[in-house]
Amino acid sequence: MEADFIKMETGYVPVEAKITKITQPTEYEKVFTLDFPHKEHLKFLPCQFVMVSIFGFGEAPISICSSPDDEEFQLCVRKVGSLTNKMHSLKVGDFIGIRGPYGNGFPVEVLEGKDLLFTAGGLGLAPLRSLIRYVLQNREKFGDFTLLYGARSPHDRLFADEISEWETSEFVDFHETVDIGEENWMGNVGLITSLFPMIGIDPEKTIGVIVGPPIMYQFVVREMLKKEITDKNIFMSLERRMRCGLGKCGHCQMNGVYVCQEGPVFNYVDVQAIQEAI
Amino acid sequence: MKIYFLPKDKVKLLVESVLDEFQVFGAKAKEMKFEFGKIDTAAELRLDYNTTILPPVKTFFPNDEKILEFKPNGQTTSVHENSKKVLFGVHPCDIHAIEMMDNIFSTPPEDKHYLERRKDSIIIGINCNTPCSDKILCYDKGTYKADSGFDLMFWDNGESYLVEVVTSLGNFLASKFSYFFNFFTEYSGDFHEFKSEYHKRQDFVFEKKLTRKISELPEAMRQSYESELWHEVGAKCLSCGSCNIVCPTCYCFDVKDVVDIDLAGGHRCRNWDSCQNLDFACVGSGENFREKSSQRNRHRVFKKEVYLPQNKGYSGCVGCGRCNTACIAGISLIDIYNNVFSEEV
Repeated sequence: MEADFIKMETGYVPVEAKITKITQPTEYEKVFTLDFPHKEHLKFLPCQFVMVSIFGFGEAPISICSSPDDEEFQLCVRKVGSLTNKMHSLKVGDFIGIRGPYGNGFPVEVLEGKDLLFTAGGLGLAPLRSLIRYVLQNREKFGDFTLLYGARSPHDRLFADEISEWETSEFVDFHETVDIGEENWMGNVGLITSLFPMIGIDPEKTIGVIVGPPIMYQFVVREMLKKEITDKNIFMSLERRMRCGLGKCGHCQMNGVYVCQEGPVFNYVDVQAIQEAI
Repeated sequence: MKIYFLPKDKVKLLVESVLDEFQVFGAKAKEMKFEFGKIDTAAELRLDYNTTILPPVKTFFPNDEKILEFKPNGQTTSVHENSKKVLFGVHPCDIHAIEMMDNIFSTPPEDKHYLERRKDSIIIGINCNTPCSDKILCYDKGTYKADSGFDLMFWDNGESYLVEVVTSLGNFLASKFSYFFNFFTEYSGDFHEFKSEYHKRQDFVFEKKLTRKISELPEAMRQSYESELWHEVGAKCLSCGSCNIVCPTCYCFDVKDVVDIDLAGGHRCRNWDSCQNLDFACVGSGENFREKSSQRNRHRVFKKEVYLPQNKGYSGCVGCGRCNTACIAGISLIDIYNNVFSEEV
């Protein structure tokens, strides 16, 4: 795919984007579909993020959850702070400010010709969805595709409609679990690591990708290593606080690394040299 | 390079003339200390000062800096300030700090807000005859003198200053005040000899504070990552952030919105932030990546002595001693560095 996405050299000035659709998959998450004044604003790589701004309420880094090959540009936003609470009160037709995209994005070319094992925990499914959709849209470029998803509970599951498609799709081997079950839940109950015994992979050909809450990484890495995937074939996207996205404000730093510049996607080999990473 | 000769009793006249044309920033008395700020009258400016509370570089990176203005209709304007400024009488350690910050903010993606403020500014340095206090590390760091980063440099020569003019901006200032230059005469002595004599006199009065050479610090520091030392420092620290706020090379910031009282608009501004604040590395989910004071203290010191040397090739500490002075818990980089040196096997 073309990696010559446009980095907007506008400093802190956001572009105005119009909300064209809002869906609410869970009590705390909404998916916003945005329309930009120019199409080049839509160019990005999977796992890149944007700074979302509403004047008077500040800015926050939000991962893009649509694929670069999608017609629609989407952000999945959890209601957690003043900006995101305000965002949840917005209606179709309202405008928000966007600057970016920022971060390195996923090096999709390293996945080509390989088997894929994606692991998403909780809200980590949002940034990973960008890459999942990209893989499904360009399915012939990749080998076997296994996708694992863990949510806290059945009603915390994101993108349930797509999950239903993945469950029956011949293009992806999808497994999911919830930490805490409910009366009507017929699926797996247990941590995401409990899904690993169910899957068979060829470690020689497989690339592992992990996106989830901070606690999840070392446990999932351990499972992937048990499956004999090598360090250099494991990638992960890491979350940090960000105030500028421009490699200056210092909040996203892990040891000497600015996540907004060198990340959020890291290879596990590099992560092992960064003590504060996982 | 040109060298001029300026009798000390003419300095005030020079400052007055500069004040007619430029905004002047310099050291002025504030109670028992000195602050670096805007100078309104020539009498206010002090050249015989010790370390200022806040460093000169904050002139280009002010707190509460307005970066955007916004209107309710969504109209947004980037705010830049680029008045011609003269920083009159900057110590060599602070000149090193300005050079470092120039590098940080001009590294892509560039920070236009800093660079616009910095662009037309003229730096007049002044060398230090004596150490500012016993809290400083500039002699170990080599930052008690500066070879670059200034447009003019004042060298104390008893009843007069020798004024070294090194840049086109320095020459610009000289030509701007050509009518004034009858007070200046070209210095005819051997300037190199003068400099070496000056530095020899500094060697007598400045003293080293570290037990080992500063070049050995990054490696010794790297090895201290898991040291008990950070727990000891963390236990003392009150996480007030004073060390960061007074530091001439701390540049971390927060961004926040301020809404006008009539709700007709507002602005987005950035504020100095401190990596010692508990929530500095805390994300929306509540996860705090440096929850312990020991981790935050280590990060502050490692950023300066490990990460910046590694990524940029220079130390992020110029040895000005401000953090050591500001710390109400008595934490001192001098002690930390010497402890790190003594621990290393």
